[in-house]
Amino acid sequence: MIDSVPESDTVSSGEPSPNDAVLCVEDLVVEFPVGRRKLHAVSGVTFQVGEGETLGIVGESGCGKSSTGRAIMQLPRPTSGKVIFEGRDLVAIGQKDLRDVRPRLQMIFQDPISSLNPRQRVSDIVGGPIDNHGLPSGVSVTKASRDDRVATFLETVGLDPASTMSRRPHEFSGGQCQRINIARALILEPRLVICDEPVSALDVSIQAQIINLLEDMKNRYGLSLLFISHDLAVVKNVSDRVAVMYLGKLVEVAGADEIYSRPMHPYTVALLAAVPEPDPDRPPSPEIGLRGDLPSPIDPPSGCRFRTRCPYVQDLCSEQEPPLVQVTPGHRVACHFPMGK
Amino acid sequence: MKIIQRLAALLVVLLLVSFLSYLLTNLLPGNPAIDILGPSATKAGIAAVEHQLHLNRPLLVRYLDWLGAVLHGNLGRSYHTNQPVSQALAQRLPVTVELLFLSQVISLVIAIPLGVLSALRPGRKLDQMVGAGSLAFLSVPPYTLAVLFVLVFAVKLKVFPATGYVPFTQSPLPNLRDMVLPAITLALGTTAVYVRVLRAEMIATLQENFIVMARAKGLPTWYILIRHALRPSSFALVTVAGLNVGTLIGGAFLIESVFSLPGIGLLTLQSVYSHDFLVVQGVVVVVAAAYVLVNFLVDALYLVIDPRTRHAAASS
Amino acid sequence: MSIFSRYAMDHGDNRALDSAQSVWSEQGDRHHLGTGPLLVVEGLHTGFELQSRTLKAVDGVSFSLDYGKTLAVVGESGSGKTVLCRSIMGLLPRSGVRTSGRVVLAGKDLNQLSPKELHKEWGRNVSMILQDPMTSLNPTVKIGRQIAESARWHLQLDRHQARRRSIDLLESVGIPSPEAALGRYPHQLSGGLRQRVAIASALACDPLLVLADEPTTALDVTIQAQILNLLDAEQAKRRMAMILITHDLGIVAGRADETMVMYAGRVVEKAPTRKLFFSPRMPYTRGLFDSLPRIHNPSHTLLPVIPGRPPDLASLGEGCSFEPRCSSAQPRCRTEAPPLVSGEDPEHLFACWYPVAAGTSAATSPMGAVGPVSS
Repeated sequence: MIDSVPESDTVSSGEPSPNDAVLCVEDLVVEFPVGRRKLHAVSGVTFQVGEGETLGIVGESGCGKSSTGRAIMQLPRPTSGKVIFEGRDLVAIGQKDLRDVRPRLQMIFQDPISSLNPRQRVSDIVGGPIDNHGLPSGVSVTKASRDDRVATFLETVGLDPASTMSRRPHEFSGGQCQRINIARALILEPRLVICDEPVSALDVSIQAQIINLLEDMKNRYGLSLLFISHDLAVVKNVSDRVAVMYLGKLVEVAGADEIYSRPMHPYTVALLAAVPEPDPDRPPSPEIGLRGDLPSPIDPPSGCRFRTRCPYVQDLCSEQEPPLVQVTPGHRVACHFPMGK
Repeated sequence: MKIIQRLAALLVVLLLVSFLSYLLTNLLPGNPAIDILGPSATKAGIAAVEHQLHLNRPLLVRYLDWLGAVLHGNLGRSYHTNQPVSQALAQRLPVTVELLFLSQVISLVIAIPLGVLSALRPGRKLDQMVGAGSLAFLSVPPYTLAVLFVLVFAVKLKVFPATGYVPFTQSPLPNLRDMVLPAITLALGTTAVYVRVLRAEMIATLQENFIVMARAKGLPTWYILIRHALRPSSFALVTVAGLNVGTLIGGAFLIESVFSLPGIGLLTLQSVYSHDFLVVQGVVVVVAAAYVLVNFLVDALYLVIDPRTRHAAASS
Repeated sequence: MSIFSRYAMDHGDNRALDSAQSVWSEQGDRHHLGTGPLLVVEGLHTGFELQSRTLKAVDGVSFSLDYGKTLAVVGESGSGKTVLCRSIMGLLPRSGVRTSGRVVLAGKDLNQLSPKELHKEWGRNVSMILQDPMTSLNPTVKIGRQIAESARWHLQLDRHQARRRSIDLLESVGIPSPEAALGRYPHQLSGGLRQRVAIASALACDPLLVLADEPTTALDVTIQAQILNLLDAEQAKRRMAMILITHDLGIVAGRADETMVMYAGRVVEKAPTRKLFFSPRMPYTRGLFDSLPRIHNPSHTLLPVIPGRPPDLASLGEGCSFEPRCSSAQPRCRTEAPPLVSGEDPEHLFACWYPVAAGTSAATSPMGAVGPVSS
C-alpha cells in the first residue's frame, strides 16, 4: 500500500508524459445519430497509456467505455478528437496509412466465440494477420515460417498446436476461444492491445486463467494494454492505472491502488461500495446512496453529468461542469467537491 | 413526416402502374373501333369512331389526356356501353371486396388455431396432419380446386349454388350462400401459407423467457397462448398477409370467372376481350391503389402489435 | 432445523417430510407460517436424452430448506444449477427429459401432482425470477397485466382488486409513480426497474418460495446492490424462503443462510454460508474462492487458478467429476465418486475423499491473505 504520495510529478503510479506514452487520446468525442438527435457516447475524453502500462477503464453499461475502445481502433472513426499512436493521429490519417498501423494496434472482444469466424480453421484465424500484413520483422512469409509462428503463439497461450490448428472454433469452449483470440491479437507483436471486457463472458475458474494469461503475455511481449471492464475487482487486479467513466466522461483517473484506497469522486466511492465481496463478515452492500437510474446519453444533464444521482450535489454542480484536474500527483478527479480532500 | 413520404411513394407507384398498363393494353392486337362497329365496318366508319374516341392520336398524348381527366375525378367512359368507368367500378367492386374479405376471414379463423395448436407440440400428430394438409393445398392450383368444389358441392351434393350472385344489401343470407364456396376456394391456399408462417414464429416465441415466466406463474395454457404468445408471433403473418394481397386479387379474378361472380375480375376479362381500354385502365388504378393501401395498413398494424415500434415511431 | 447428516442422506429423511405441514389457506395472509422444512428435495435426477446417451444435468441432488430461509446455489455454467431450479418447479418439457426423485413443497410432492394441480402451485406457492429482465417480461403486454395476472388467476381477484394489488406491489418494490407504470410496456423502463417489475410479479401471490435464477447477473453493480437489498427486504417482510442461484460468490456472502456448491450436476459442498466461506472443504470450492479477483488485491496479483475446464456432462466417468482438475486427487478419486457427507461438523457436508483440512482457508479475509503470488 502506498501511504504517502511522493511530491514529484513522475511517480510510479503517475501518468506517463505525452512523450513516453504509447497512446495519447485527446478530447475524444463519439456521437451516434438517433433519429434527429444525437447520442453522446463519449464526450471529450483525454488520457494516455504509457509504454508497458495497463490502463483500466471501468464503468457501468452505457458509460461509453466500449465506444472509447472502438473509437481508438477507428471502428468506426470518432466524431472528433485526436488518437495519437506512434506519433500519428489516427483520426486524421487515411485508410491506407491506418492499415499500416493496425498490426501494432490490436483488439480482443468480450464474446470469444462470436468474434471468431466459425468457418475458418484455427491456423487460418491465428495466421490471418500474417497473411494480411506479413511478418513484423518484414521477412518474407513462407508457408513453413507462417505455420511455425502460428504454432508458437498457440503454445504460448496454452493450446496444443498439433491438436488445435486444423479444428474450427465451435469445437472449443469459451475459455479456449479467448485463448485463440489472444494468440491472433498477439501474433504480429502489437504495441498496444485494447481488451474490451475480455473475461466477462467466462466462468469464474476460466476467468482467472485468462487474466493470468494476459498478464503473462504483457510481461513477455512488453505490451501496453487498455483494459475495458465493468468489473472493478478484475480491473484492479490487472491495471497500473484506472480511469472511471460515467456517461461519456472520465470522472476519476489514478493509480490502481490509489483509486481503490482513496477514491475521491462520489461515483467511484459508490461503485466500490457496491462491489459484492465474498466476505460474510462484511455487511452485504450497504446502502450505496446512489439515487435513480443512469440518465439518457441522448440528453445528458447540464454541468456535472453525475449530479442527478450524486448524494452530495450542490447548486454549482448543475451550473458548471467540473474539469478533470489533478488533485494529488497522478490522481485526477472531475468533481467540484472531491471526497477525502 | 413518414406519412407524407408514403403518400408520395404511392403516387409514383400509381403513375408507373397506370402508364405501363396503358402501354400494354394498347399494344394488344385488335382495334376497339372494329369491335364496336362489327365485322361489316367501313374504313370511313372506323376512322370516324377512332376520331371520336381519340384513338388516332399518339399514345403518350392519349395517356396524358387520360391522366389529366383522372386527376379531375373522371375515369372516362366505356367504349361499348358508354357507362362511366367509375360507375362500372362502383357496381363491381363490392363483389370483389366481399369475396376477398370473406376469404381472409375464413383463412385467419382456420389458420390461427391450427398454427397455434401445431406449434404447441411440434412433431406430434396434429402438427404432422396440419403440415401434410397445408402442403397438399399449397401444391394444388386454386382454379383446379374451384372446379373440383363446383363439381362436388354444387353439382353432386347441391349444398351451394355453382354460380349466381345476389347483392348483400338486397338479401344477406342468399348472398352469403353464393359467396361461401368461392371464398373458401380462395381461402385454402392462403390458409396453408398462414398456418405454416404462424407455426414457425409461434414455435420460436414459445422458447422465449417470458413464456417460461408466464408458465411459472401457473397461468393456463390457453391463456398463455392467446395473451402472451400470439401477439409477438404475428409479425410474419401480418407481413405475409399484406404481401399476399396481390396474389389474392389475381386469384379472385380467376375464381370470379369460374363462379360467374360479377366482380371487377369478370369486368376486366370482358373488357380485355373487347378492347375496352379505359375500363381496364380504371381497374388497374383501383387495384394498384388498394394494394398500396393494404400494405400501408399492414405497417400501421405493426404499431398495434408491437409497442416498441410504436414508441420508436413516436420518438423519431 | 434441517441438519442432514450422513445418516439422513443415506436413509431418506422421513422426519423432515412428515414435519412439513400443509399450509393451504387458499387466500389471504400466510405470515403465520410454521417452522421446519418448507421444501424437501430428495434424490433429484434430471437427464436430457441425446441420440445415444443421457446427459445427466442434475445427478442425485438432495437438500431441504426451512420456511423463510435462503439457500444459495453456486456453480459455473453447466453445473446444473439452472436445470435444478427448473426441475424443482417441474417446468422442464416432458419429452426428452427424464426426471426422478421427490420434490416436496409444504407437504405436497410436486412430482406426483397432475399438470393441473401443479399449475396451481406455480405462481401461487412457488414463483420464479429470471436473469434477464429484458427477456423475462413480455414486450407486448402492459406491466400492470404482467404483475397482476397470477393474482387474478390464483386468488380470483376482480379487475379492481388486481389493480390495487399491482399498485401496492409496484410501490413496495420501489417503482416511482406506480399508477402510471401500470399502463407502460417493459421497454419503457430501465433494466433495474424492469427487474423490480419482475420481482413484483413473482411476489404477487405471496409465494412460500421464490426461485431467483441469477437475478442480478444482467445488471450493473450499483443496480445489483439495490435489487439484492430489495429481495432481502421483501423476503423478510413476507417470510418467504428463497433459493438464490448464482455464479457469483460475492453476492452470496451475508445474504444466504446456507450455500450449496454444484459441480457437474452434483452438490459437492453444502454448509451454512459462514462456514463454507471460512472453511471450504471441497478443493473445488476452495479453488473457486482462490481464483476470484479481489478488490483488495494489490494490482498485478497473480491469481491461483483451477486448471482445465468443466467436464462434458454426457461422458462423465465413474469417479469424482472434479478429479481431472484437482490438485489433491488420488487414485481412489478416479474410480469411486465420493458421497456428500459431513465431517466433524454435522452442518457442513462435502463430497470429497481427501478434503481440505478444516479451518485452513482464509480465502475470504481481505487483503489477499491467501498469499497471492505477486508478479
